Amino acid sequence: MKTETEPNETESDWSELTRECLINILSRLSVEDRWRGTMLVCKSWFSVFKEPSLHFVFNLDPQFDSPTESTRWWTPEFEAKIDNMLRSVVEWAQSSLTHIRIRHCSDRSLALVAQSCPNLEVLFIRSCPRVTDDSISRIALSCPKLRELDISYCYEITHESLVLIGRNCPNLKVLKRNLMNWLDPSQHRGIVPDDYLNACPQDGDDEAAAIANSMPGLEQLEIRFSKLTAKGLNSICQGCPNLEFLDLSGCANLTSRDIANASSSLVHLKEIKKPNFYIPRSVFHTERYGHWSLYDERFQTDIFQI
Amino acid sequence: MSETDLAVIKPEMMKPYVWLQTSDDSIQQVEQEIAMFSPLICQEIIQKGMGSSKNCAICLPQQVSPAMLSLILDYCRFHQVPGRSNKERKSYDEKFVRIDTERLCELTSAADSLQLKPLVDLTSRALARIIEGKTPEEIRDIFHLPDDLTEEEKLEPLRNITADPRIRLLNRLYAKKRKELKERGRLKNVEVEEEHVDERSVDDLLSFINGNDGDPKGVKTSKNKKKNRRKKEQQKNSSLKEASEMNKKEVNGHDIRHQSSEAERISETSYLPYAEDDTFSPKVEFDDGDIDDEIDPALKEKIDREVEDFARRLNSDWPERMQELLSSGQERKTMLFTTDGFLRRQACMFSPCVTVFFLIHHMLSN
Repeated sequence: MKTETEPNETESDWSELTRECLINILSRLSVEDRWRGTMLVCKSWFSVFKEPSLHFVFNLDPQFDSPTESTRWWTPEFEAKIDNMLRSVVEWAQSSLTHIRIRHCSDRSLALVAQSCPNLEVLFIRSCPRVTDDSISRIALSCPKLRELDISYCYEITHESLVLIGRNCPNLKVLKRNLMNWLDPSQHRGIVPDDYLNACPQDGDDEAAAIANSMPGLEQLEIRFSKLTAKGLNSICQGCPNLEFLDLSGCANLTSRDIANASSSLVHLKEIKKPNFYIPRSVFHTERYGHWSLYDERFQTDIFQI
Repeated sequence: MSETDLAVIKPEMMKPYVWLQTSDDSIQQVEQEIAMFSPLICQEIIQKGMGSSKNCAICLPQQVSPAMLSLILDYCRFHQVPGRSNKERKSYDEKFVRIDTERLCELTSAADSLQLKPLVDLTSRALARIIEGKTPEEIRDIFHLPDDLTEEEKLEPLRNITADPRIRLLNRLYAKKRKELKERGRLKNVEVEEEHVDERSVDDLLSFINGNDGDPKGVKTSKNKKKNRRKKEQQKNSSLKEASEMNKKEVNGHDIRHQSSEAERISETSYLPYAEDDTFSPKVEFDDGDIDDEIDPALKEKIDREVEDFARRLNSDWPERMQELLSSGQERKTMLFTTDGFLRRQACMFSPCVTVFFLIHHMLSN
């Protein structure tokens, strides 16, 4: 006669998948499913969860891609959680980590990334208010295989880091250095802390010079809402001749003529996104500029012909 | 039976077979062509010459039961037939994995043990779809797994606890240091607030700007600024020094880096459980002494010259700048008087004479 425990024992036999099978299954799940579901199932699954081959890529971007941004994301508590997640992944990956796409991390975790991830190829760290030149310079010196870098909305990173990245990462092809919409910050108000929102970097031309002088192999560049001028754009177009994609949306200090003149030297350019502002004539008095041609040159774009 | 019929049947009749023994010791005869889909069986046949008779049947792994073997053979037979479209294969695969979770798991294990990668991928995908979006409890119910993780283990990846007692001790030491630094900072702030009370009238300030009255207070302020700047530069860590040196060679521009205080840097370091020992060695002695106390006389003279030069430039620039500033003054003023740390980098974008102008403007408006 069978005891009560016997059926359970035989029942559980079929679910004892080999480690390789479990790895295969877990590798097909999203980061969210892994962290919220499988990781917390049982000891054997948790040990499989730490398998380095499951941590080549750490991508939290889909979790942040909701249409509405959360105020909670900008809190130190949330940042600490992201830091700890990243540090755990770095520890489990055992230097096999190649792609990191996260937000709201800090220097604390990035210092460990620099120390432990020599094979890093993609680093996307948008919206990280407490990531500074300190950790980015470490990344530059320790991760020479870097191909793609996104440091958008990271206002504590300066042109100094860009120079170091360019010098030490010769394979860099994609750079995203977008700023928040400082022309109309209403979309960020109440979510992003005001002091951070107002701290938008002013050194657009310095950053442009850093990019131009140290990143000759760049193919994609995004600098939305940068405060660079025609001088900065000229230096980028001369210093990065291989550019195929250039995003200048919201760059208020550039005119259509500036963009046309500068980009004429980019033979490989496939797409350029221009600052599409339209300021109706009614807003201004005609006396402001004296004659319309000057007005048109300053505010007209290819998208909105006046 | 005609010759043509024989010609058609003959290859079928002569088709080679292999003998396979499953986990329950039952032996089956299987077409060699289909059996050799499995790299494991293929290896046994080619290298060891097994499976040619019932006596030397190929022993299959423990995970392969007769039921699973027949399922696997069905899969191989379908995919072995040439000329099937991808659409047909996909449709078959979808129907093939529409079985209960228990059998799907057994099939995955069996296929894995026979090294049938396409089938393992197919069943793993199906199992992943079952797991998708499920809570740990639901997964445990489906797979009959024990709930043997402790609460601490569940929180471990989010808390990132380190077991190293040295690090815990260092964290405590740094916390102590931070407290001391905060106390000192508070005391210094009180002193600074007392010092910054400006007794001078607006007329005095204006006359100083116009160069009539060489009040040394203004000079003193800019001198202190230089002192602070040098103090900060000495505290920069080595990697940033390298960065700024490289930058000076190539990029002409102002350094607007947001400097973090030593206390902040220590607190950040103390969070790094995996850092090497030297990370924790305090890089700066925490003494209150001013760095510039024993300043070199030659350097002092140089600073004084720079300050005088700055004052001269300030006075000469003033009339032309006045007009320009009046037009854009209101907008900039609001930014300048924001005391948040994040705006430090903006403040340094303004020239000193603009700053002085706004100070006066601010006093007048109050």
